[in-house]
Amino acid sequence: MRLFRKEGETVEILCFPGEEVSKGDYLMVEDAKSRKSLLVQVIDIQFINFPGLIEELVREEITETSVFGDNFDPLNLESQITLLKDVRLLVCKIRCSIIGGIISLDISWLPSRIYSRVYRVNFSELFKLLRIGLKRPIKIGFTKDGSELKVDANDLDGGLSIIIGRKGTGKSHLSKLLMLGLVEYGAPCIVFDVNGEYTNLGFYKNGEKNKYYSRIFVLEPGRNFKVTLDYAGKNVLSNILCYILGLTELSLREFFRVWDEVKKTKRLTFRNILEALRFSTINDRVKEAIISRLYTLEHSRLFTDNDYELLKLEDVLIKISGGGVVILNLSRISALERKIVVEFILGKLVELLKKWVVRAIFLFAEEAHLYLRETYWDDIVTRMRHLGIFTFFITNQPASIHEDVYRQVDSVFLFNFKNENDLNMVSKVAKIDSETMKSIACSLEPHYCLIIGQVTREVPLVVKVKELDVKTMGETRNFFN
Amino acid sequence: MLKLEFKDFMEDFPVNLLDLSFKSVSKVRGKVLEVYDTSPTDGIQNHFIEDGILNIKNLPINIDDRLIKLKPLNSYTPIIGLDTSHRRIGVTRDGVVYAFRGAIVWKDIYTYRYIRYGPFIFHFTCLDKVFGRNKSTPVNNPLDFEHRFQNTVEKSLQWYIAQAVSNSIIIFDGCLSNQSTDPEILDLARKKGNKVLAISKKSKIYIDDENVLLRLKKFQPPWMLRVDDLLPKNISSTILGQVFLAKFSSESIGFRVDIDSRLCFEDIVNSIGKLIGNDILSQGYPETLRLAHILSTFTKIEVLGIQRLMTKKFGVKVEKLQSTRKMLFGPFAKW
Repeated sequence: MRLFRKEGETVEILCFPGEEVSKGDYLMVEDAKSRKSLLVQVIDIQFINFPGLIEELVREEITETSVFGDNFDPLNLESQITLLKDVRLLVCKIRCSIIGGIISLDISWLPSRIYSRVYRVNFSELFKLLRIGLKRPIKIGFTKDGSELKVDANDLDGGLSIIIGRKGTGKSHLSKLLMLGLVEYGAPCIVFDVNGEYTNLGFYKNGEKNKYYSRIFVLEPGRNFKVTLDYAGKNVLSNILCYILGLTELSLREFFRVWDEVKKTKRLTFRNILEALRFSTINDRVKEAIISRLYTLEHSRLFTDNDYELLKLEDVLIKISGGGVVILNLSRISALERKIVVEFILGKLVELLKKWVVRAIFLFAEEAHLYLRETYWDDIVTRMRHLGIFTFFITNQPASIHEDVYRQVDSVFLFNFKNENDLNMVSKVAKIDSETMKSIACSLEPHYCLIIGQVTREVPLVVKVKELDVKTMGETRNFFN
Repeated sequence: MLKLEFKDFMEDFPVNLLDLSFKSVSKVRGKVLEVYDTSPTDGIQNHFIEDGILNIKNLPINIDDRLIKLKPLNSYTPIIGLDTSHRRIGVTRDGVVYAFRGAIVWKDIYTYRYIRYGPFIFHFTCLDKVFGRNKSTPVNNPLDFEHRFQNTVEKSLQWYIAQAVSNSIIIFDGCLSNQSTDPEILDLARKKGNKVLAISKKSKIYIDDENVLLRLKKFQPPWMLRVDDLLPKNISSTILGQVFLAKFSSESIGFRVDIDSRLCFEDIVNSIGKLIGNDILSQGYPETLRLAHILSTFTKIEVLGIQRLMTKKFGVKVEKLQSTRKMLFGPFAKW
């Protein structure tokens, strides 16, 4: 391989037949004289446009299809021509410099064409060089050359991650892998499970209990997860009434006036509040608005008036404080109920984190646009992050995630995308040039994932996500197979 | 059906070009080879320019009597086209490196076949001599080798084909002149019943600064017009054939055709008739010759391949030749 050209952050390298390089591979351009190296990633492979190539190809076509004969080629020139015809141009992006063995972002220098040596870097060497996955390694999968990629749980800590890709490419599989990896290091996780595909994480594929069984708690709102109004508290309830059920501020004020009055004398139950409302002097329209919302809450199945049915979130979180997963199975409830549950959980989590009942928690949000209200997006990436909620967004609709979220994202796990609009959406805001994003993401096979960000030291890596021996249940259901 | 074997050709070849080539190139081992810029806009022109404009005397008034109307004869006759080309690969301190290649194309009943010979790489210095069939001529300037050595290669192919086939029509590229062929080759061909002709792409025949073809527009092709008796003496003395102006198809621009001078009128008409009847004449040009040209021509990628081969095989260091004109005149250097 020979260094051909450098323009901005793009390096072009001539690659001769026999030198096997493919998209996503890393090459080192080592300038022996200056003792500096450039780490570049191949983002495209093109044919080189030699002068006279068209004449050669046309002649070849003529002689191959309509004219037959013998060549006396004493110098075996044909082999050289074949070689030249197959010379490829590797379009590469510079990822970093290595100066005196230390990684540097200074890419302002130009390597020598004459003294530079270009060679492929094994992924295992690359991981060592970049010091990826050293402290708390989570095995993610394998690179093309068979090297195992381990991301560092520390790099997911305190961060915001996105897992995106088309349906059936393996997003949920990766999220489960990361989640169980975090659990191994004692991290508490909570999942908004829209499709009920995480519920069997405590079992092997053959149905037997696995080592995570005792650390996995599946909460199903209305069944084993119910809360009382008193436990929900004023703040959480006001958020639900205001943001989910659309109660106006005036009505909300009147509701909490009644709430306070009831609390002085009786238990805070739907019956007592409704009774108090009926006898109150509140404007009838306001009264009606509040009553209708209360009926909705009562029928949401999340709320109960019976204290014995109450399941306190902190009680569950304590159980997973040494590592575990709380799975909120949202698959059997309506869209509105889903929003109520999520609002409750997030509100309650913030409360608990503020009180240091929980130190921090990893939140896995599947298809968050289905249940997360608009105002929460900013909240999650700014305020909640500081409180200790570290989120993973998992979606097949990149446009459903706000641009602000992308801008603050620390790590992106990108599966195959063909749709140009989706790619534009991601590449516009992700921490990677759009050329790389479009070139690599389009050609990713199912279960292959492009990882960009903090977990890979900002160096894009393609891995085949490893198998997981748990009952995943995330596969798309088919009719014929 | 005509069958040509390459091994026969090698056995009959007068000078072992391969040995010569290796001996010659071994002299450049480890040397610097300055090469030319092969920009994509450069044309590929490496064939021997053998002819130019021929001015003839006035056409006779009875042009209808002179014009030979041709008819295609479909009885199978092998048509053999032959062409060679050369390319300058680079310049060393002592000389010039050239590559030569020849191609013989023939049409059997169903398809076209070919033998391609080369490339041979030669490093010529002032001390070298050009090998002819019967003589060797010293050359003062290595650049003079260019055409003279191509001639040698071409004549070798002509010699081979003249004796290897019989009762065929052999077409050379260019014209039948002292420089491009030997009378012995034509004698040999005749003995074997072959008819030799040459077709020139570049010759233009003019009368009073007007292309003769314009005056012959009204005649429906295929036709031939004999013009050698109208040529000036200084030209006709170097020509070994009878010179015709010919238009084989309506889309043809018309070519100069030289035919072996010893052939009688009937043989000439028959030969051309067989050529028209047996070969494909796209734009009036024989396909055999067109393919021979295509196969022998060096493309730029082949030149690069040869340069790379010299680097790998002979340890030559290839350097780009600095153009003094470009250095001095920049973008105006081309003018």
